[in-house]
Amino acid sequence: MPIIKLTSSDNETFEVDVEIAKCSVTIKTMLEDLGLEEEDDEPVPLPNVNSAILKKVIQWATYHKDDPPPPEDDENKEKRTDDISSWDADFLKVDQGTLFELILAANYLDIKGLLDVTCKTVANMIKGKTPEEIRKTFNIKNDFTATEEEQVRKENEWCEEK
Amino acid sequence: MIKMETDKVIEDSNSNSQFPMTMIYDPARKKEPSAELIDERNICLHYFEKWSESDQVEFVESLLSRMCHYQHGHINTYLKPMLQRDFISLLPKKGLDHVAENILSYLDAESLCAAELVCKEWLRVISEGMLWKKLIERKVRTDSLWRGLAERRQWIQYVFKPRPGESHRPHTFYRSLYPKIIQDIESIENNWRMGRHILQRINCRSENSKGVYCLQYDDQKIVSGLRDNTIKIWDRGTLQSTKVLTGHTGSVLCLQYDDKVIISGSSDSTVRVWNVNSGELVNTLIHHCEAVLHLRFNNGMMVTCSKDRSIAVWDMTSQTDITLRRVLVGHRAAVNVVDFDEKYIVSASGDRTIKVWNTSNCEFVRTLNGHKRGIACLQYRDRLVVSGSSDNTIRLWDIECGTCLRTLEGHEELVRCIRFDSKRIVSGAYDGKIKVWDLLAALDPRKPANALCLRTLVEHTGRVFRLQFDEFQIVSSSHDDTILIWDFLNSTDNSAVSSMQMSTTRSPSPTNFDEFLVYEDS
Amino acid sequence: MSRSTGMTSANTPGLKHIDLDQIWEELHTGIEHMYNFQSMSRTDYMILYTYVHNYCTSVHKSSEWSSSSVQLKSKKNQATSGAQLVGLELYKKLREFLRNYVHHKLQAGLNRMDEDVLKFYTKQWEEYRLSSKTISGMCSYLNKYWVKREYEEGRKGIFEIYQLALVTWRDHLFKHLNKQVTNAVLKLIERERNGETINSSLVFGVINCYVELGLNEDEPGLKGPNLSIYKESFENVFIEETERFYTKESTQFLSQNNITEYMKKVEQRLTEEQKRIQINLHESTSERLAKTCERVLIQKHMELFHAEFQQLLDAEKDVDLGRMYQLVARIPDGLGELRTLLEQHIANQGLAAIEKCSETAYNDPKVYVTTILEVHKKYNALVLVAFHNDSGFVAALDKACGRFINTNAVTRMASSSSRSPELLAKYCDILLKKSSKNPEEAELEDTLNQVMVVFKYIEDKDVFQKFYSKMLAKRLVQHMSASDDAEASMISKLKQACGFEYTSKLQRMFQDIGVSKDLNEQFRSHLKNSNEPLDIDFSIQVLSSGSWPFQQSFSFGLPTELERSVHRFTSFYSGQHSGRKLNWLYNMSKGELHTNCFKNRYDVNINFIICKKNNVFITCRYTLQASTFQMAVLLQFNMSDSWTLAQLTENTQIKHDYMTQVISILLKAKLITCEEEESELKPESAVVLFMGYKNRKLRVNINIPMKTELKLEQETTHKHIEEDRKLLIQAAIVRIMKMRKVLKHQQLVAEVLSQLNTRFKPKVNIIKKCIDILIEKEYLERTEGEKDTYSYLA
Repeated sequence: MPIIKLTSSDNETFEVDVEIAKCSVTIKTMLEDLGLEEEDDEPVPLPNVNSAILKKVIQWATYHKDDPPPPEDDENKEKRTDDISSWDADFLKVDQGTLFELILAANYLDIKGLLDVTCKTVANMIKGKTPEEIRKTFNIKNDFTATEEEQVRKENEWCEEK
Repeated sequence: MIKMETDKVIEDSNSNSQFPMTMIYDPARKKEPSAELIDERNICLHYFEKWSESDQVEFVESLLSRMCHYQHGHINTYLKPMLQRDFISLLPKKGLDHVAENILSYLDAESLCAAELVCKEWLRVISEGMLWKKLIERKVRTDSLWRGLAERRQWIQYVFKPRPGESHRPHTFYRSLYPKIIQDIESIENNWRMGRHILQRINCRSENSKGVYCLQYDDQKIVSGLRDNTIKIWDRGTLQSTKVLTGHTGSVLCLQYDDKVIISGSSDSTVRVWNVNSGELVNTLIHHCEAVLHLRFNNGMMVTCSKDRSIAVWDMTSQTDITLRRVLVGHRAAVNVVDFDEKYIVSASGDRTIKVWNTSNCEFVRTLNGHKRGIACLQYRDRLVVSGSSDNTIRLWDIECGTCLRTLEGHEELVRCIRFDSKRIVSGAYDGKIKVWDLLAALDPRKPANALCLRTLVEHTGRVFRLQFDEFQIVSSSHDDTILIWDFLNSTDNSAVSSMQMSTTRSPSPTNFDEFLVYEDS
Repeated sequence: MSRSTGMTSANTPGLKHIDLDQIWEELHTGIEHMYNFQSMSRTDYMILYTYVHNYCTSVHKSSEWSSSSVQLKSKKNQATSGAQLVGLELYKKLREFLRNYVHHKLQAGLNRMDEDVLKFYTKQWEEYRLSSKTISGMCSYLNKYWVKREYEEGRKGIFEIYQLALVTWRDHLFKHLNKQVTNAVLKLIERERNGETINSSLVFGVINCYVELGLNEDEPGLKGPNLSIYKESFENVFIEETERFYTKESTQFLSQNNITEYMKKVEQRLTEEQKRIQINLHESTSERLAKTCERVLIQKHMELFHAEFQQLLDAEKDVDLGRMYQLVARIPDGLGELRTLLEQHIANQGLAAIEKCSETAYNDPKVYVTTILEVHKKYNALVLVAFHNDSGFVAALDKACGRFINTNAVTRMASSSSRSPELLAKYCDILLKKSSKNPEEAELEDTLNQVMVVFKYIEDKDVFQKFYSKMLAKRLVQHMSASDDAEASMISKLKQACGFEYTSKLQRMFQDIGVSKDLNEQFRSHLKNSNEPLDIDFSIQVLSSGSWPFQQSFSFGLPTELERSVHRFTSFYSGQHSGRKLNWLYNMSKGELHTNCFKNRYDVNINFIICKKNNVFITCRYTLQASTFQMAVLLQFNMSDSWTLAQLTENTQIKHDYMTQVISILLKAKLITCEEEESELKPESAVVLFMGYKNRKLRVNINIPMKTELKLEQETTHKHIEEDRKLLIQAAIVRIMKMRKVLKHQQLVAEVLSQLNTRFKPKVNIIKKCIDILIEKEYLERTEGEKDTYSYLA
């Protein structure tokens, strides 16, 4: 299988199967636009991704290389977050900083599957928690004034009655 | 070349210098460092910065191993917030508002309410991202109750893409619309539970033989099959008959229609196909040698059953090209009802049994035994079969294993018609009573038998022959020559009026909604 | 590259402000490089992509809010469905660049014409297209978020970058150059139609461009071109040009050539145009182009085609007929006239063929059937080959055959359409009866299949059935069948054509013969075992009554020589099947008499034939093969050499008119003599045994059918048919009414006709009569108050 070289922002170069690299629509489009003619050994610079994250991304793409192409968002389906595979769940047991970087990289490289699963992971961290629990989870300071907070709380009262 | 961004930038908002940390050290114990210490530290840092990343990590590790537990605790507290990220606030700062919105779009209403209370930035992102509107849109797309309500209460005009030349309403509009929809749904559920409804009555005024054997409805019309051999189509608005289809020489016992045809079965033993729009007779199928008691068609296939004890499976290439595929025999009495999907054909008979057949090869699969007398009606969907019998009971069956999941008792005469959806079972009996049952409770073996029947509706003065229902209404027909429309959406009860504000005004003006926009005024 | 640690980052703003000016220069250089059609490295591509990405994800300076001051109020009348995205400035710059580039190219193309302009246009387009694809890929982040959101908000005039490039080309170059380009393409196509070789890649290039330019501006999200540019700027003019070209060419060609030649030309032109679509144009034009060519080249000259069709039929030019079919079939409803002409032609050919041989054919079933088959075979082949077995032409053939088979010179001579089925049934009899000319099995099977072809067209299938069953009965009873297999095969063919009911009697007859064989065996062994052998050889056939078309015989004084045998069999049979009544069919029976030198005269050797429950039958140095009645008379001469007719009638109890006929045959055979003339026989006339009887053959068959019998048979056959038909019609009416309960007269007649048309064509007045009969019998009644409506009385 043909190999492509990817260079991270901190100048580390990774050799990856072309088919795996094509998980990234950005790289796939580039290869289509430039053509795959001649043995092109020129590495592809990815100035927005550092080596630690690129390594993670390649690891994810390698595991998912035989997946069917992700479906277009079907708006007629319920948005679920309970359908993360156990491999992905393990893969994403990382600190929030790394998760954040993975989201940025998935967006930059246009890898829909990775972006979806990382977003779902974050959503699961929010779901079912009280505002205070959410703040604690993400280390957020409550910057509402007491009046502001009371007003929003009142507007949302309907939801708590249940 | 411009400076490429790396991840080493730690954002100000979560750097620990901004808000107090639980410190193990007493701040008072902190002394001004000596000049000597400052020099030594600077030298260390100078070397440290020259090293490679991995060397730095190794060095810090060796430092840590030299420290004691309480120091570790302190460092841990220092380190933890550095590893945390406020995704919802940070992503927009990276120009990734759409990703923050995507994350929030996975939340249900409750979590979304909680998220609004986290901090000002979260509240802003939810508002800018129109997340309440998106949540409503998703509900409308995925839930038939929401869809039906959106159309009936006319707020569907505010969701999805605005019509050309119009713009969206502000986020606050949707934020206050959501609880009102919830309240509206609750009041409808309440109407069902309390049996509160508005009743509309169609009197068929049949000349000779009175009675309405079968019906099907949509938002515009009701198509009914009568004992006087005719099919009558009624306008939902005026409750007047718009068409009378004649041709059958016996009572019309069963019918079904789609957007092209009405297919009817009669005691004249024929099945007839009519153009649903023009009402003209397009085809007559002569096969059964006695009355055609029930029929279902879908997706190029039709199943009919008859008093002649047989079931016929038909291929429908077109309205005029309908050919017999197979005849299923096995029942020892009249086959009263059939239903089918891609997997099974289900039939029930006066012989007290329900039989299951394979749809693709028409082979017999199994018999469901349990009813003590003949079975009059049945519906089948997914794995569930619900049947009504002359033994006055209703039974719920698992089609795959053939077991009876629950017996519903309460009717005092033969249960003639039955339908269910995802929430309810509605049944009609020969004593004129209609009962509404809680399907989810019925499927829960722990629920006591007396908690299952939600309501008994008594209006018909003769046998209930057929009914159909949806989230908002029941339409039933009877031997008493009437068709009743039980409207649970617009009940007469006052306690539901608060939510009715939206419904009573047929076309709510936008200002009506602005009253609720408290958020806007603050 | 600078690195920063957690501590120092506190001062780094979280927001990136990327000014477009900072990156535009680099972007511009890259894009210009691309549009100069120079190759681009991966590094350059990714760097440009990253520029665009970082620009689009930078947070806009002019944005009203900042990171620290969170607004509680959202902007009033905010019309977005989400946060603002960055991209407009970059989009504007790109649009400006493309406009300048395209404008520049237009200047270079304006003064060019014909092939020159085509070469220029196609080259420029191809380069522009490829470059724009790449640029669009580099800007995919802009496309994916900023452009997409603009769509969603319903903003007009914003496109994905590739589409922007197409729109720019269309509005700033194509609009000014398309007339020149289209004209040049049309000129090129005309040269090709005139036989020149052209550079078709030029045509192809332009067409591709036109197709791609067809954007859906109202719904830019919709993928795929809508062909509007191609249709408006090319197809319409092209079709006009095509029509003009072929109108001129066809008129010119026809003035110099005949239709046959013209058809070849048209065929060739149609193929050429089809190829043109495949090679150069867009497939969507295919139908319109074909329709135009067909209209101009075929439809306009339809009258010439029709006139030629009859001539081609007359001249039997099958290849040209085939070609004409292929061409005319392209015109909607074009074949109708040809079918009518063909039907008339075949019917005329059939009628003429039968007319020519009608004298012989009237009495010669073989000539009759063969003549029909020849006509059918010829035109069946024509329909199959030249007309591709087109269902309309098959129907025309069937209709024509139905016409000339049921009504022709022969049926006119008989003044009955029943002559056709009668002759066909007789032909079957000739084929299936034992004779010296019986063909081989395979050949016979083949001929029977041919018979079925004719059978298919016979309207009065019930008449055929009547005659066929009569002749089959005779073949079976007289053991005259050439082959049991062939009989069975024919029956199964008829069953296939008309159903079980049609052949059930034929099958029963066939079975009875088999059963009778066994029965004779049993009877013979029964006689052997009884130690009381019969002095005559006696065999019987037991036939089921109802299945056989035989009339019950009148009784007569059975000769004593036979009585014993009949009695023995009767008791044997009833011993086996109690309760069955046997009726003896003496008229169908025959026997052999052995003359003992005409002294003491006849021994009997009987071969009787019988019917189960109702009927039965029987089977002698000159051996005379005689009918039962002849035997009875001849046996009288064992007692005396001379009798008067009255005495014979008295002794044999044969009715007088039959007796006259029996005597008449015996006189003709010269077995007896009479002094009176044959025609003046009276009861007192005396007949004397002719002792000088001589015949060259030792075995003489004197069993020839009596005239009255023959005539009677014919009449009764026809009468039976009428009676049977009435019953069938009544049964059909009852069946229909039982189902429908109430029915209008017209509908009832129509349903009866459709139910019975496989058997015969009932006459409407007969149906009416039958309805009246049924009303009388109280099966039906006229519905009160409704005209012409009947209701069923259960």
